[in-house]
Amino acid sequence: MNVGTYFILAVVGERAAGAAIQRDLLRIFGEHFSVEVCSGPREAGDRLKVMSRIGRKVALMAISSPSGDKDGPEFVVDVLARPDYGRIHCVYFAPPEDMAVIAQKFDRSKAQVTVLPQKYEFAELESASRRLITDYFAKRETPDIVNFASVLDLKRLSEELLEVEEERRSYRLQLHDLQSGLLRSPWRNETEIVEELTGRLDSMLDLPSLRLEIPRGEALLKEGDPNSHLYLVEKGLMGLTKKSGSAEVGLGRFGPGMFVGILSFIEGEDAFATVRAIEDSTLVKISAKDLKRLISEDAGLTALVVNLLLRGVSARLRESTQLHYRVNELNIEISRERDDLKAAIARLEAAEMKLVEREKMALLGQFIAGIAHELNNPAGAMQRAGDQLAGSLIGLMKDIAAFKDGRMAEIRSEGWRVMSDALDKSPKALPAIRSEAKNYEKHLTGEPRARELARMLADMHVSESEAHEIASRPKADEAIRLLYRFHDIGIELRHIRLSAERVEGIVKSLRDYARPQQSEPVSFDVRTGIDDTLTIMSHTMKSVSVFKSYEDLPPITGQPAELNQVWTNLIVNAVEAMKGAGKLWIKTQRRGETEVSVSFENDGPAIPAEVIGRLFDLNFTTKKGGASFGLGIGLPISRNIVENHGGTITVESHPRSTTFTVVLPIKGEYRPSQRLRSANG
Amino acid sequence: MDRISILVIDDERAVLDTLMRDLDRFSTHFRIEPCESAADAADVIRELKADGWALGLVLADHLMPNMSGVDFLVQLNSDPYSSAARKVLITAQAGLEDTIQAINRGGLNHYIRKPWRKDQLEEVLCDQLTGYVLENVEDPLPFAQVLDASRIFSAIHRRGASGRL
Repeated sequence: MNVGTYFILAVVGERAAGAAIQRDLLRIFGEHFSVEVCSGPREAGDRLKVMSRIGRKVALMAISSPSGDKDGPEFVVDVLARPDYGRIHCVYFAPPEDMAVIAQKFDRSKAQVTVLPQKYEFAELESASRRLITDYFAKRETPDIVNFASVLDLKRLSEELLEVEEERRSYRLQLHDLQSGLLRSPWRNETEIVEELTGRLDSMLDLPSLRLEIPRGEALLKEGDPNSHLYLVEKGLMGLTKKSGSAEVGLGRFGPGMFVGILSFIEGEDAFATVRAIEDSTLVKISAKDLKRLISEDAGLTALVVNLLLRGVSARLRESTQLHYRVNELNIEISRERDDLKAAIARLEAAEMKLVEREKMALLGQFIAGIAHELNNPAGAMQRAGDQLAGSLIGLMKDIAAFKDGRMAEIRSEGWRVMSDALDKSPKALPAIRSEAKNYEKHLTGEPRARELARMLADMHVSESEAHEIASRPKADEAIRLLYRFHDIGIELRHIRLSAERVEGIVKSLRDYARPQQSEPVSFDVRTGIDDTLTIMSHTMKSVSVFKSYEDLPPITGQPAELNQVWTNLIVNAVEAMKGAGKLWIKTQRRGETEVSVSFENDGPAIPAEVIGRLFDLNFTTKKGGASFGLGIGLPISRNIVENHGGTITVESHPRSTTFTVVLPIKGEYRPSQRLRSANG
Repeated sequence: MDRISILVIDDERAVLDTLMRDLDRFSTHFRIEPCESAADAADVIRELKADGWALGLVLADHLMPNMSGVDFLVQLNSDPYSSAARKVLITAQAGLEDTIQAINRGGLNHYIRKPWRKDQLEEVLCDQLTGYVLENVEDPLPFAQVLDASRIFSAIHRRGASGRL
């Protein structure tokens, strides 16, 4: 008795018959297999379950059922269909009257079931059961087969093995086909591909029913639609596009022999792209089920399909990569353009700054030119006076030498007084001189050039009585001319002094005007600053009549140079409003106990209503070229400075009367602010 | 010798004094009257007229309160007494629109930039006065001493040749 993996199962209805069967089977197989008996299909089913669980397999089942039994055949059919029991081979003992019917039942599984009559011949049983068990083992391809060789139908076994070998060879060929098919290089032309493919498809599928005609322009698939089919392009041209932003990006064109719908088909997702016919096209629609069938039945077709799929996918990849490159290139271009733009903007900003600087410098240049001119005039006058002086001194010495009148000492002291007066006193008013001259002329009749001499007397700082006295002297003309020399020298010295004072004044004003910011605020009189500013600007104000009305003011605390900028700004604005000629009133007043006010009124045109509200705005200007620097620093900056001093600046404008008023606290706290506010800030 | 006057107008006394000194050369043959404004000059012109003096040349600064030099000089052209006089503007305002206008309209004979050079001033005045004298004076010879002698002599010569005297 062998208890091994394999055993034989006898399923019987009657005890006696079962015993016989068991005895016969043991005769045949007892050397290698145990024969176990069950009575009835139910028990057999349980036994199979148990055996299967412990890993024992039924090599052969012999089942005998009574006449008219329907359970028996059903049971066998079920068991045969169970893959977990293995491919059970079976001898079925049927009652003679049921044999035909039962044989029909096992028609499908003919190879695994042999039907024998219940009253069987031993020889029949032996050959049938050997054959069956041989088939079982042959199909199982187990090495154990060697052990059972003695009970097997060797002839049958060899046939089986040959069959198996045949199958293997066929598989190897198919595999080889598949391998070479996969690696095959592109076909010579599309028509060949399509012909071969459709030819092979035609032999497996109902091709006509799978064909689709898509006219030009119509979409086969829309991006995002669900898709579970693969489409072969048989004729025509299909284009793939995908939405990108507001545009459609082309992903490639696919002609005969190519597949479309690949990605969604393979991944099982919605359509990746929209597929539209570029020309009238014919397509073959292949479902997953069809494809499975094709692949399992025709290895060569599989190779073709896989090859084409790969090519299709690689074409898509190529397109996609090219797109990628293109996008990359575009990105590089864009980023280059962006850099160019940035550079251009930087250049523009630099140019703007240069322009602003240039304007500053230009205005500063004008400013300096104005100062230089101012200095030039007194400088020139001094030079002239110096030259004149030389001549006058020589002339004086000559005249003294020639003077015959004995009253030299007297003349000299008179002359000295006339000279000092000419130096120290303002010249007499011309109308007064003229009327005096007329008077003196009467006394000088008889003298040659009486008019001239009378004029000289009148010019000099001598009293009327003195003048009459001199005029009545003998050789009055010599006396008058000699005294006039002294007078001339005095005048020339006066010119030199006045010019020097003017230069000094300009330089001082300039120094004070541009006094650098003190670390501590200082106490100062605003009137001095205004005067300094007027001095600096006198060159640009030649046609402007300035009327000053300075009330007595206490000094205030702050930064005088900064306030000078404010005065400059307001005066420049006034002069420009008057177009260079007009009247400017500057008033300083005390306001109550705590404040002083400085107002600048000009008689230019009124500031328009829409402008006046924006005067102190940053970036607002009515002059081309923006706020002026250097000479004037713009109203927003002026306001900033005034407010730093704790003060306010206001404007009122009517035709021929525009007034800017600056109010400053006497005991103010000077507080420099960080930056300019906007009008609303 | 004809009695011819020269008017010098400037509101800055120091400048006026300097101008007077620079024109001293002509004082031997011309009556040179300083004025400090257009109004002042108008008064002086009235006096000169009353005194029987002819107006030969007016030298005026441009920037003056109340009435500018250009306006005053141009105005002189409408008065027969002063219309023949030579008009010279002396000013720091070069290229001034008014100045250009005045010259273009024929109101001015010449303009000099401030600051001026004495020799430059003398030359301009000499030229202008010579012109005036030759146009308005019967006997220009006495003036040859201070003016452009060669021009005066040639003019006299030409007059002699044409029978004029």
